Amino acid sequence: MTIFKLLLKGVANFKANKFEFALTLLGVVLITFIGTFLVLVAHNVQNRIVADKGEMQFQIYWKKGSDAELVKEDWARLGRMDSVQEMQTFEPGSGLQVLADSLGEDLDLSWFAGKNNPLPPTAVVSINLDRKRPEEQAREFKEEIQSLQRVDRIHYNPLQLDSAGSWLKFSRSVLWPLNFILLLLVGLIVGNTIKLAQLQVQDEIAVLRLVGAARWYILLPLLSGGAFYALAGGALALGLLKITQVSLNEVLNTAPFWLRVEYLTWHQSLTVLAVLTSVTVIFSWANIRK
Amino acid sequence: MLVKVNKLSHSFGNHWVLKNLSFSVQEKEFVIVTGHSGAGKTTLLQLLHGVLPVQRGEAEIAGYKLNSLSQARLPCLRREIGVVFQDFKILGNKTVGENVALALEVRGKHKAQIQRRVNAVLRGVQMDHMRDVTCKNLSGGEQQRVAIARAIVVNPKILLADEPTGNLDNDLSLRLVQIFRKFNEHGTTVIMATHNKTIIEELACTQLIDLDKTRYTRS
Repeated sequence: MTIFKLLLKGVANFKANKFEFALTLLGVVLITFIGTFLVLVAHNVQNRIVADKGEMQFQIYWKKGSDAELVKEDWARLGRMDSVQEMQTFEPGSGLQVLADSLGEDLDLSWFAGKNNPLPPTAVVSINLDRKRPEEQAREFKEEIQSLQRVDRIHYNPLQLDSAGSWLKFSRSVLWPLNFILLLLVGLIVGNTIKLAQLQVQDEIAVLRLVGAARWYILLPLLSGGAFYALAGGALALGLLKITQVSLNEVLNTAPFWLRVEYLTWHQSLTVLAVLTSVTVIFSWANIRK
Repeated sequence: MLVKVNKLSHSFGNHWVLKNLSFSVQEKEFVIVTGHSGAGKTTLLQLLHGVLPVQRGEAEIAGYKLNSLSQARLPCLRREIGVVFQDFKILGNKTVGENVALALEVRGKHKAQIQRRVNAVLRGVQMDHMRDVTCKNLSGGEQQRVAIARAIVVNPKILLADEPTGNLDNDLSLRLVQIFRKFNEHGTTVIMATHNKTIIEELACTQLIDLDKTRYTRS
């Protein structure tokens, strides 16, 4: 009960210093907003990279003369695979038509129609590569397709795999650490802001020590006060960020940009709050240690 | 033996403020520590209160050996002691009542008990009418009385008072010293640092420690 009272005391102390509390909270909100805005930018750049560069295309050829119904079953199975992003299928007839269209009107391929058609059933499949193991995923996908009895051969561009792998590696090795550094930076600045705000209670801490207050008696209100600053400031900053994201999305997700601005994931939002709270609590604790 | 000091020395840099000081205090004694400004009165009280670490010699108070006292145990010692600081150490943004109550709150006393004790003690130092006044609006003498009230409100085993009458006129000084006296008669050991000759002459102390002469007179 005493512990609960002391934790509440840390929050109730703000009532006594409303002006200082409001200024500190404003500082926390603005710092967190700027930091999380940069995280949001990095997050969207990363999404863009994954969407644009993290794709790999395979052209799959079925054995010539395969039963059309069984080939369609294979296509349906391919379509159900999680990693398949997009799939275009061509029966021999439609394949010939696409070929004829691409070669121009001067060339007549109509005599290839029907039984003379040399084209096999084909599919062009795009898959989203896994950020952490693009090469392995491409190999596994290829092996899975090859295990289909009626599949003859699979073509893909190894340069595309290299390029996708490099972009994903860039996203993994640069943007994620950048997110982490940004969060840490925000945490440190917020922690320091709260540390400065707590300097005004240094006199009280000194007096409490002199009259025999135990360490936890002094520590608990400061920790809960610091955590409250971080949680309230972080939540307000995330709210402000949501408003900004919606506004930006309205502006950028139209012609000619067509850039979709996504909000941070739940996981990222919770990480922001967790980092802020942890760093603040550590700073408050360090304050007492002095 | 409530306080035992043996060959206690303390220096700030190369300047030795206390050198080979030895004395002991029994329960219920009223001890006056005197000496000129800079003689080491405050240093001695700060050593006894655990504010300064023991550098040389040995000191023991209320059963706590100060040489080996850990930071974790320090609050336990301080809860046995009431202290009046030379610079008051009261919180200007809190009221008189809140400042006095602070010493009881850290000891986990109940609200009703705190109210009762605070009222009684404030009456004793004639500050009950100012209970809800914020301390930054008080005069030096009034702040000093708040500091005294906070020290005695916990019924300490030992009361350390560093120039408790420094900001008060002679009449009020003697009145407050009478409060200490009464407190002492009820069983609290008082160690008071002062250079006020009138108080030293008026007050029948059990022991006088003159740091100028490092001489101890026991009556």
